[in-house]
Amino acid sequence: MSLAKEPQLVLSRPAVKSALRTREMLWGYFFIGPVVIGLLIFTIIPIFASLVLSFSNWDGSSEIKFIGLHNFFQMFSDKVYIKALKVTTFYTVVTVPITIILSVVVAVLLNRKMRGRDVYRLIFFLPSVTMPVAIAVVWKWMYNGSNGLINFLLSTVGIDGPNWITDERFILMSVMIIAVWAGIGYNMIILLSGLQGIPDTYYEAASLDGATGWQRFVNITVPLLTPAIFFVMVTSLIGAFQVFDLVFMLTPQATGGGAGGVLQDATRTAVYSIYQNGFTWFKIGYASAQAWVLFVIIFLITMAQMYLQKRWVHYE
Amino acid sequence: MMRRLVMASLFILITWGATACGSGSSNADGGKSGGKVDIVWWFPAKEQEATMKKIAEDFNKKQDHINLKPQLNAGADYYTKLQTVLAAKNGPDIMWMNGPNFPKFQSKGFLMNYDQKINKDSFSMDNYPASLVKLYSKDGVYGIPKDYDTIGLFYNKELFDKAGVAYPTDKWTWDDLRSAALKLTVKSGKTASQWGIAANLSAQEVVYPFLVENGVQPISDDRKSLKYDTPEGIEAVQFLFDLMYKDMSSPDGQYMTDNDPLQLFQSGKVAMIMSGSWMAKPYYDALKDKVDVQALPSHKKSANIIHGVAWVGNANAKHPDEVWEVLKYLGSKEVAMLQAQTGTVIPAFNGTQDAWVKAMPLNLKIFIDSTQIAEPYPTAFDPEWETPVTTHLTNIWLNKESPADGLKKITEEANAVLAATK
Repeated sequence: MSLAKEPQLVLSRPAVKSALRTREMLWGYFFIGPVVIGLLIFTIIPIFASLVLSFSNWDGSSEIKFIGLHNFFQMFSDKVYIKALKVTTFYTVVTVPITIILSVVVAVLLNRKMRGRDVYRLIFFLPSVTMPVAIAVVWKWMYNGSNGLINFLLSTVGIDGPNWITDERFILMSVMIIAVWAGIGYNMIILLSGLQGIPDTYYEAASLDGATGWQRFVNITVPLLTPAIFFVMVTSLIGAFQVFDLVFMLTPQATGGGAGGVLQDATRTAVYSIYQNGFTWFKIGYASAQAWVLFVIIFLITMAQMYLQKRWVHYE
Repeated sequence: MMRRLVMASLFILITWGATACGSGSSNADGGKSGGKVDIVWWFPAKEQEATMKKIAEDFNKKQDHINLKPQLNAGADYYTKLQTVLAAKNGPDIMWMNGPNFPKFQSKGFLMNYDQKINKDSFSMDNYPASLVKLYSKDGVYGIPKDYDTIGLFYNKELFDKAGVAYPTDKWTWDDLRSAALKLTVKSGKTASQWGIAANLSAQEVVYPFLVENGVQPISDDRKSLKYDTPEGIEAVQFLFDLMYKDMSSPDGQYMTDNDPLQLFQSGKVAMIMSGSWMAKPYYDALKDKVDVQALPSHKKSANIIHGVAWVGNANAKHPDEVWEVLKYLGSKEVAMLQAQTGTVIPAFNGTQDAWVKAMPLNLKIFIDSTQIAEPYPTAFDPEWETPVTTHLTNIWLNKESPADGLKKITEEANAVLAATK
């Protein structure tokens, strides 16, 4: 019925309601205008401006001079940038799987009927709505090598704890622990909604056939949760490649502009490198080029994930 | 994270747009209100806002053809913002400038050269410490010194009394400092519960003063090279290193990264610390009559590091004569006295510092006397030269590089950056 009516409607619209439609259209544009303008000014135009600038050696004030692909060639002989990419990759490869596995476990546990379930959900979600600065300040205090909470607890069981954030061998791990802790909450919410979308009938049928709890988890829950897991994985990977604020706040800042030394080498991520080149040293062109390389890397990885999902994501 | 990227692209957009449509747009610096010329004046220090407003009020009452408008631009991005508007040939007529940023702004032609005006009015630059005038000079004078800071050795009298150690004197040498620090260190088992000194990793307050006391210039006169890897340079940094890792009379670099050494001093866990004059008020507020200050201990010679803020003019100001008139007022004794009474900064105008010295019952005179022996804070065109300095100093402080190795790398890497600058 409705399909059959459709062409008629299209034909009649311009003829009958043209004045009204024009007015509606204008109002429509008026309402989306602020968002579109905002998007243009704050996102679309800067994106293209940074693409143009990535071929220049602009310092933020002098004449823009275009230097072709020089920035991109320079990047691959820039030991600092290569190291930053390695650190970012390592960070991603470690934190993303751990965060997702823990999120699934937490989501499944908090999907049962139990006393105080909402309180637990709130506790796990709190880090996601806490300001990163506050998170960093509290963790810094807990990580304090001489009188922090963690080393105090370790000392009660006779372990001499390390200098969590002032030893270059531990600082990246310390950052990753916070990232996992802070990442669980948001993923948990997504996965919970995925879990609640699984119909009870499957579980009932499986129970009747005598499936154990573990069998139900592996054969029903996990396969039907894969779309949610896939979504969480794509967003977590993108987020992990762009990590900046945690690193920025946990790496000690030295006096005289920009921190330095082994601690920063151990934690400098790709976005931190962009920030440092752009805003500490005013190499806007080089920073733009780095941003675009990072974009291409993230884009390719996401595309690969989209392609590979066919093999493991089950849509009902 | 995404927000950071958006912010970054936003900044790029704004600055790009500003350059592209540069001279076309008009700004407050050309404006007139009621027959008066508007002079816009920027500063980033919120704690000085009341004083700045008072200065502008006084000035506007004194004459009838200029309307001086003070504008607070607080935040870490003050110099970024300034660079952006000046590049577009806009911006304030008069602005606050610090030493590290001056060479960059001057070399881009953003700043007003005062030489002709100084000659015409026979305005005397002798009213300010020579090293400060030098800090804001290149091929002429570009800054009217506002205030300055030098470094002193703050000490906790209570801890000295308890350990029975005599207070520091102006005759102290590095050796006196070292032996006193050892005596003031209290160990309970393996770890110290009180340290004699905190050898804070601060280039301005600790490393540069020790270098100049050993005869090492922080940077060459032409701002194109440094020589930290000389035996004298290594000796100075080795001395500081030994306080941490040999004598253990100072908390080590890792401890001071976890725990702010300034707070360790304020809470009475450290007996001595080298800090700038701007710390006098916070230390006094925290420790009251328990704290006092003495001149830095000497070695080859007595020396110090001086840095200060100056008022610079916009080279593209629409009314340069009126700008100069305001600058002369900002550099006057009257304005200096007004600032001294706030107690937070030492005014640069010679002879007005007494008001600051009397603001607190400490031996603040040493900060004024130190200007006679002080070298200016090292600055160069490319701010990146400081990156190897902070990088390897951090590594030395964390005991990852020896002072000799670290200083060698600083010298090589910083000189490479400096040599590439125009």
